[in-house]
Formats: sequence, structure tokens, C-alpha cells
Amino acid sequence: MKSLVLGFILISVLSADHLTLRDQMSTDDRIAAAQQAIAASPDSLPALDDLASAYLQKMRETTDFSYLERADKLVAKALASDPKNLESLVLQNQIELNRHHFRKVVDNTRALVADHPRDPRLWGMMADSLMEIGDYDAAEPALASMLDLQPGISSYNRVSWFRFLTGDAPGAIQAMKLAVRASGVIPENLAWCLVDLGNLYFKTSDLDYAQASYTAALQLFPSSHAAFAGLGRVAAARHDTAAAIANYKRAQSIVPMPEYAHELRQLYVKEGKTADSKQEEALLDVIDRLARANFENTDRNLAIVYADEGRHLDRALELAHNELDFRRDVYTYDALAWVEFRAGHCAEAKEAIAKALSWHTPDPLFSQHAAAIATCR
Amino acid sequence: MKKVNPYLAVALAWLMAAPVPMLFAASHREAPLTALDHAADITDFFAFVSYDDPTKVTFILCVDPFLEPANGPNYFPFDPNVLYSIKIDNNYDAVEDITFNFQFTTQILAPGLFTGFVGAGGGIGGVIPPAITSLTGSGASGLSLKQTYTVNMVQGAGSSATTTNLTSSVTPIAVPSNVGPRTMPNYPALAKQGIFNLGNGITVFAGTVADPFYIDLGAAFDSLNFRPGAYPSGVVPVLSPQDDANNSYNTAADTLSGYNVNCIAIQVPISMVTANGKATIGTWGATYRPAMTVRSNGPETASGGYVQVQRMGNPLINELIIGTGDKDNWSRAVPSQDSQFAHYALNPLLATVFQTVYGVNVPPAPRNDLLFLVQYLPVITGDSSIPPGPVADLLRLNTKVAPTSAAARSRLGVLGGDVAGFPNGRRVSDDVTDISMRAVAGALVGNPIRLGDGVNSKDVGYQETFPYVQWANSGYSRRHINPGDPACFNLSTAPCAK
Repeated sequence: MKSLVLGFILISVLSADHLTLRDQMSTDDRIAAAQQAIAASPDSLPALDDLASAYLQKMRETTDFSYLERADKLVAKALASDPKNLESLVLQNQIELNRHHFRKVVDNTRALVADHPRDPRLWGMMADSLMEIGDYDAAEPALASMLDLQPGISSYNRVSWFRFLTGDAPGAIQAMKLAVRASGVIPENLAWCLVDLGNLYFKTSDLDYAQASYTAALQLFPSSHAAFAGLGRVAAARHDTAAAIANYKRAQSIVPMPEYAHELRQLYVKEGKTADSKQEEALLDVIDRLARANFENTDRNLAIVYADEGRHLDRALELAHNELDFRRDVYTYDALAWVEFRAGHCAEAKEAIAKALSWHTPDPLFSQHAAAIATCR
Repeated sequence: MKKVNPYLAVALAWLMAAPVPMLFAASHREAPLTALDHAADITDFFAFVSYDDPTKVTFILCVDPFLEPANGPNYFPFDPNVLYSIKIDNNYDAVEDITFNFQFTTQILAPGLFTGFVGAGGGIGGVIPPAITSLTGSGASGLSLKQTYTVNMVQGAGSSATTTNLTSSVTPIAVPSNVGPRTMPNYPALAKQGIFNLGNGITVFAGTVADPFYIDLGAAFDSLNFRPGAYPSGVVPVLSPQDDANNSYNTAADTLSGYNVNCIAIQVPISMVTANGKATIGTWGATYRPAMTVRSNGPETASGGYVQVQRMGNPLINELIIGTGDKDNWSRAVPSQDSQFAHYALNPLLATVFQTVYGVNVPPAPRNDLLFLVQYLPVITGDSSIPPGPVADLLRLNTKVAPTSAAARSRLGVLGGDVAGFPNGRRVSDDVTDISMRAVAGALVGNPIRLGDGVNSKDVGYQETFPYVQWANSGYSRRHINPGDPACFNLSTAPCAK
């Protein structure tokens, strides 16, 4: 009892408004503090939840998904002792979101808000999942609930994305600027919003502001692979191939996303650097081989990449179609459309791109794909 | 053998080592979910009869904790998107009758990109200010980024409220943080320029200042693991009579030493905020963000609804009394609805902790002896004709009680025989940590135990004139006092307890 009480007080103090020491700590220090708390009270639910939460933040910062597994074990232990513990349930759904179990999170959060209608995180996760499965109509009121409860970085960021998806680029930028201004104290969170803002500026052809956003993100969080990729994207748009390659290589050295390998491949092809471009292709194939080994057969990013490169189109079709089982948002339909088009399936491509365009998302990628697909017979 | 591109080699090694599904390869958007809203995060709220003018009352709202002075100049102390609000109830229904609203505008002389975001590395665009001696004019040419603000006084609430712009003829400027002696050679003179007279006896100040709060946060943080070395009495956490009597002697390190915070201060005639010949007011601070619609309705403007992000009346209520699961609900609720939280104050968990961990004989629940914190009771009001009102977390101040002179002032407020201090309002120097601990342990019902964290004051002190808080710590020479430091407090030669 004593340890439970002490753990409770510790976490109360940790969560307090004025005494925000925990939020000032680096993620590693948070992990260390939470581990100490668990050592003192191994069954303490607040301590388990706190460590799981810290692991999830660490995962965000490192893209190391072993932290997801660690968090999962802690949350499972907490829920075993109290299946109704809200903090643990929120964490569990965050974990499910990361596993792309979007429909499950929709169902879970719908049930949870019946008992906890004023928890903005539940509405946020509900909205995230609904947008992933393409149900933007249902996502809107969920987001509205989150906004009404907690206007701030978390809700503004989501509103920005919703606005962009549904055809409002200026509104999306406005909301993301507010998200940046409302930044919390975790540098990675603000850097994330700055990258999102940079992406919005890039998609609306504002290269200067895009570059400034990515640069600011890196000042805050120097290992932001997405920010380096953004700088690479801007450099490529400015035909500064050397800078583009350098930035994409930095991004790749942090996390080898298929998009980075692809962009580098395209840049090397342009430069006539055949050996380098072949290495990037080889890397992409390794990524896919490892995915297959892990029974990962959904990957719209890799599907688009293969379609762009005109390689492994059967595999691209498989990846894109399998993605539909998990999500039916406009980006999934766009990926499917492009793959079908490159595989020579004109009718399927037109059907899919129509779905991708149905929300008027102002993504230049959609327009490029649509323009090409319009020419096929 | 062809040489493998080194970046590629690293990537391959990374991939080979990855034991888990590579869902990153098809990542979805992972917007932050639970980020703290630092600009709207209220750290402290103070209300007291002005020391140097007993016809006036001062309210101070502080936000945004743990500002490290050495982390570069804080060009944007306040968030232009946040409404900072000081509310006063003077007819005892826990609903505001008078509100002072503060809204900030950031002016950037060079084209700005993300107006108002703080702490991007070393600043924006490499703007290094030359020596700044003034908030405006030629001495401010280096202050290329500045914040001005408006102050509106709202009388009443809801649709029948009337609003008066108090800054129609004066443009107050927020005071930036203290960069250091080269950039701001005479910071006190600069900061004083942030005091603006709005007429009708109203004075305002807003800017970065030294955090007035003091506490051994590390000990409190470590499951109330107060440091044995701080208690010569040998009984933790009971202060010795000598240490307890010394209001400027610390035996433990103040975790907040050397940090800054952003504060808004307003001083008004007492007659402006009291009503019906009654001297007691209830007051609280709150922060809001504008309501936003999911779909854009054009540019986000300040008109329209506001959503409360946080509020504070009594210090430490949310920290120490409200249960974890209810903290966010509490922050969004309004005081007139606080009866929903009454069970916390009437049976504070902290009391159980004192009993269990330290063997303090606390009074049994329900803790009616603590009701004065949440209702208008004669112990503060001195007036039995004033109704108690609903249970509501307000800071209640009896403006008829004259301020105590500096020499006679006790950090323990009412518990130290100084009736001009907390819980009768709250002065910046009141030791709310020790007072709250003792109140929860039953000090008001004959349990006069000298509980304390060992931190009795602020090393940089306070001021005796408006705005009463100390000017910001300098980025060049701020001192964070740590456990075990040789001189725990600037007047003490004894080391801080480890």
C-alpha cells in the first residue's frame, strides 16, 4: 500500500502543472527516472505507464521499434492488473496505431469515449485512425471534440492535416503555424510540426519557407531524418543535385526509408552514376526481402517506389493491394492508382485515382499521377 | 570488390539488425499526442495588498516554467495565440465579476516565418542584438523582435459583459529576458521600463522575470524523499525551531534557483475590484486558446469563443490534492463547478502519505478544517455576513488586512502569525510548500508540526515595489543551486543538504 501511495504521489508530482520537471527532462532521463520508480514499486500502474510513455517518445526520436515492443509489455502488465486503467488503455491504443491496426483503434476509442468523453487523446487517436481508413466524414467530429477539449499543438497538427487532405492548403498551413507556436517542451515534438509545416510549404511550392522550416527543425532535433529528406527535396527542386544527394544520404544514415533510397537512385541516374544507382536499387530490394521475411506485405511507400522505377511491378501490386486491408485513405488510393497505371492496368488506375482525388487533396503528386493516368487507354 | 557506399553500408547494417517489423517503411502520420502546452502552462498565481500602497491590490500570473536564462534570449515571452486572464469574484458566487485580459502581439522587423515560436537553436536569422538600453527608440535598435500587449477589463460575464480597453492610449511592451551584461548593460533599468501606467491608478508589467517560487523539487519529486541533512532536528521532514524561524535560510537547494519564468502583473485600486462595501475577493488566473473549427472559416481570429487550457487559484491544489486522473479535467473546469472535486480536498491523499510515511497524526476525513481554502469563511473574510459560496478553488483575499512590513513579514503567512500572507491571498515570498504541508497535516486544528522542505526563500530575493518579483536571472551569470553546493543560500555559509 505504501509503495502504491508513494508511486501515486510521485506520479502526481511528476504530472503537476507547475512542477513540470518530468517534461523538462530529456527522454533518456525520463526513462531512467521511470525505471527507478518501477524498481521501487514494480507493480505501480503509474510507474509502468510512465515508462511505457517514455519508451514511446524514445521510439519517435529514434525510429527504433524495439521500444514499441518494450512499451507493449509494460502496458500489458498494467492492464493485467487493472483492465480499466485509462492511462494504460490510451498507451495501448497508441501502440496499436503504430502497428497500423486502425480499425481496431476506431472500435476501441469509440468504446472508451463513452466512459471518458473528455479525454482529448481518445478523440485524437480516433480521428487519426478514421483518417487512415479514409472515413474523413467521421474524423471531422472526432477532431472537433479534441479541439474543443484541448486546443494546442496536438489538435492543431491534426486539424492541419485534415484541412490539407480535404482540399484546404492555406488553412492547413495556418493551423500548422499555430501548432508550431503552441509547441510543447519536447524538442522532437516541435521539430515534427516544423517538418510537417515544411512539407506543406513544399507542396504549395514555397521552397524558401520549406527550407527554413526544415532547417529550424534540425536546430531543435538534429537527428530528424525527415528534415534532412525535406532539405534534399528542396535542393532537388532547385536542381542542386550535390546538396540533394548529401541531404538524402544524411537522412538515409539515420533511418533507411525506401523513399530516400529511391530519391537517391533517381538523382544518381540523373548524374549518370550507374553503380551508385544500382546500389540504391539493391538496398530497396533488401528492404523488401527483409519485409517479406518478417511477413510484412503492406507498404504503399515501397509500392510507389517500385512503380516509379518500373521494377518488381507484381510485388508493387501486391504491396498496394494488401495496404487496402489496413487503410483506405487518399494516399493509399493514389499509390494503388500509380502502381496499376505502371503495370498497364488502365481501368483500375482510373478508378483508384478518382478515389484519391475525391477529397480534392492539393498534393502535387496526385496531380502528376492523374495527368499521366488520363493519357492511358 | 566494389567499395560499398559508406552511408549504404550503415543503412544495410541497420536493416540487418532490425529485429522487428519495419512498419516505419509505411509510416502513418504520428502527430504528438500529449505535448504540454508550455506557453499556457500557469506556474503560479499571486494576489496581495500592495506592500507600498495599501489602497491597491496586485495580481501576478506566471506561466511557462523552467526558462533557462543561458539558452539564449527569449524573444517571445508570451504566445500571441493565448489569452491570459486574471479573474475576480466579488459577490461570492465563484463566477467572475471583473476580468483583466492580456493579449500579446509579436512584432518582427525582419520578415518572420513562424512568429512566436521559442527556442529554435540560437535564434532566428542570426540576429544578434547590440547593447540594448531601452524598450523603444534608439536604445532599442538591437531589440529587433518585440512584443506589445493589450489589456482589456471585462465587467460581468457572458453575454451581458462590458469590455473596456485599458490600453487605448498606451502601448505596453513586454520585457525580454536578461541576456547578459554586454547585450543589456543595465538590465534593471531596462526592465523598469516595462512598468506602464494605464491611468485610473492601474499599473501593468509583463515579461521574463526570476521565478519567484522556491522548493526542493528533487526531494518532493523522489516520493517525498526530503533530505535528512536539511533537518538538524533529526526528524525528517520537521524543521528545527531555529531554521523554521529564519525566513532567509535554506538547508536544502531550491531547484528553481537560477531559472526564469514569464509573469504578468497588474496593480489596481482595491475599490475597482471590490463591491457592496465588502472587502474580500476571490481570484484566479486562467489561460485560453481560441476555439477553432476543424474546417477553416478563413483566417483564425481572436474573436469568437475561447477554450480554457488551464487555471490556478490556490497554489499546489492541482499538484498535491487533485488525483492524477482528474488533473486535466480540473484544468478545463471553472471554479463554480468545483464541488465535483470536493472529495479530494476533504480527503487529501497527501495527508494519508504524511500519516503512512512520516507517522504524522493527521485529522481524520472529512477535512472540514481545510474548507477555508475552497469557500469564503470568516477565518479569511473576517465577516460572517459573507456567504460561503459554492466550493470553488479561488485565492481569497481580505483586502482590509494591511500589508505586513518587510521586517515583520513571515514566509509562513497566517501559520506564522502574519495574517497578510497565504492563505489570505498569496504574496510572492510566502512559503506555500511548507504552509500547505502543514495545513494538510492538520496545523489549523492543533497539529502545529514544523513540516518543511528546507527551502525557506529565494536566493535572489524579491522587490518591495511593483512588480514585486525579482528581475530576470542573467544568461551570463545565473546560478543553479544544487544539493551539496557549498553555500546553500547567499546569506548562508552552510552547504545544501545532499
